[in-house]
Amino acid sequence: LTDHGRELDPIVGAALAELRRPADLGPGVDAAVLAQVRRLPSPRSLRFRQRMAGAAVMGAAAMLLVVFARVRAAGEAGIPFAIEAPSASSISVVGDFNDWNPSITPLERSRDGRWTVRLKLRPGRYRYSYLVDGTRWVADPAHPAPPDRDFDAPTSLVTVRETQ
Amino acid sequence: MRFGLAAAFLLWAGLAEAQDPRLTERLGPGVLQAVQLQIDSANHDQLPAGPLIRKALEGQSKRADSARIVGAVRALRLALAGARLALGGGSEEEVIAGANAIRAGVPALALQRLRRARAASLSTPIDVMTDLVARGVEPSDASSAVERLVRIGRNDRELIRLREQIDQDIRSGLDPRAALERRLAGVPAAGPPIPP
Repeated sequence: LTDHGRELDPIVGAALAELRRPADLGPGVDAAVLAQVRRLPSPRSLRFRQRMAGAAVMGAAAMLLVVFARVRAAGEAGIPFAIEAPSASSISVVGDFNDWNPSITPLERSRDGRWTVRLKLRPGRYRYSYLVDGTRWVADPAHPAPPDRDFDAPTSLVTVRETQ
Repeated sequence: MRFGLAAAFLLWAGLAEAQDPRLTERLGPGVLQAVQLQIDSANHDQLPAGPLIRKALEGQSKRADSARIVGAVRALRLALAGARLALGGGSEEEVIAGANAIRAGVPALALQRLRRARAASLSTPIDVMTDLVARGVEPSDASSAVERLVRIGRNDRELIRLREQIDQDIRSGLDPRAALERRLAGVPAAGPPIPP
């Protein structure tokens, strides 16, 4: 026996000849292997599943975004009350919605001297004023004054609609 | 004697229970008694008492004197009664809106005409009327404008939109009457008023 033109040792040659002989696995093996191969998912099916998984991930991400947006919107919900008063040391909004109690609804001061608060109010009309430094009543320039002047102090009128 | 004292105590206890705790906590005894009389009268006439309580609390918060507080509460009670009469009953919201309008100077007759023009709730049209007056429109102009719009079938949303437009015009410097006329231009005229 030779291997690539080289003469082999007879024992090695016999071993190689034995190894090169096709193994006889019996008549049913080919059919069984082919049946197993047929049961494997086709490449098209795999692509479809990958697409479905991608769509599910995208859907979940979209749902998370919606939930996040709603949570964020809920945090910003309410009627904004704001007044510019850089030199004030405290401001509260006082009105029909808090029984005209000055200690219930303080405004928060931002760096630029703007004071703000958001209130969740039911639809309706509310009279209110800003109380600056606990002594000075100030009307809200963003809303009209009620036509009556019951107590002289500046007062504003806000109308809250269903959609707000 | 004992019976009389017991009856007086029970009467006092009953009154105290009927009084709103916000008022008892914040009003002095004299003004509390006078305000309570107005509230009792409103309850008797089945008028909403909430606005009267809030009015008294507003006065107390703004440190108004007793006479001023009682006067404001009484004026509001009379306006509530007038509004209910003009509207021929109506919901609490309508009566409160009507009282605000009357206190703004809108004639009670305008509320009557509005009621005849529309069967549905009138609280938004009346509020719009009051807001226009608050922005400087003459009460007679505001009431006739809103009545006209209601009679041609404009809904609440359209009335609110109109109020916002007029508000913007006034903020941008237009005279209140001119702003109203500008926004009413092109609105078809209503027919003759519906007879009572």
